[in-house]
Amino acid sequence: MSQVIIYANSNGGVSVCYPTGELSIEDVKAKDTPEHSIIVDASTLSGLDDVFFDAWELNGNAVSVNLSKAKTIAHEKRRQTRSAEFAPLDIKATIPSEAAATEAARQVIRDKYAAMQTAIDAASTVDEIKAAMPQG
Amino acid sequence: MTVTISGTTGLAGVDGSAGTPAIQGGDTNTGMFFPAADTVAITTGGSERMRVDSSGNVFVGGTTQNTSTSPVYASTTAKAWVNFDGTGARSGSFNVSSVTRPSTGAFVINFTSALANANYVATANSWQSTSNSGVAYNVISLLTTSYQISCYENNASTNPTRVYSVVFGT
Repeated sequence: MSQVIIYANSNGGVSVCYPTGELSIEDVKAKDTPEHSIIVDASTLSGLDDVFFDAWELNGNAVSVNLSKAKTIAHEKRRQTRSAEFAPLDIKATIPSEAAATEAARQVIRDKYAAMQTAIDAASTVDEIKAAMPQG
Repeated sequence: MTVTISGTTGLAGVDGSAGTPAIQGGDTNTGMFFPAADTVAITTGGSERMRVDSSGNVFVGGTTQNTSTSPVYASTTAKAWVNFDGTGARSGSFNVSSVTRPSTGAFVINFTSALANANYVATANSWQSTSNSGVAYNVISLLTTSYQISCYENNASTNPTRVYSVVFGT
């Protein structure tokens, strides 16, 4: 079973070190990671959603997802996706004959993402956050 | 010590050293010597330059293979390379002991043997299976022991499906 080295980093997150096999994992731990790092089976991380990697936090020897940070990630993804959907409408909004229809389309987008924002804020599990945020 | 000259075995009986090779011309510190059993070496100016050991390994520039300062790893050959996936797990590598991921899209490449200096070139590219848009790379924090690759797509940090990176230097 493959092993990795994990440690809490200065950003409050978790760094994951993958040895290449050129050195023993003990030598890699001593050379490439801080003293407080620990060796774990890679399988212990497989149940964690990589979408929320920046929300991972180390509690003892276990890694979990910080819900507050996960929501921040979800909201950032929501903003990016919303901006991408608004972008094609920006030019149309300047054309008088298309302005009204464009505004209606923009309102649909606003409503969709407002509902998404509410759902993300109300989520109480990682799965609920992921279901509420933009997919893909 | 007896030097034997034989029509069958040729010249035999002296191992020599880097400073005084067993076979030499007019220059007494340049030639060939035999530093160990089943091993032959070439010396110039009193310093060992090349060795072939009992297993057929060729050592250039010293008695340790694959060191970053060995002339065989000159500026025309890669100092290191690595192929890893978006989590940091590697498929192949040379002179890379590990890949550490501190955050999404960031990968620290740690060298097995430190490079002679930090004035090297590290390049990176990738395969992205979920999008046709380009991934941009920043190669930063060049140290003799490691460097970092940061990957972005549409101005957001991203984990490419696979990352390829190679290092050249002196």
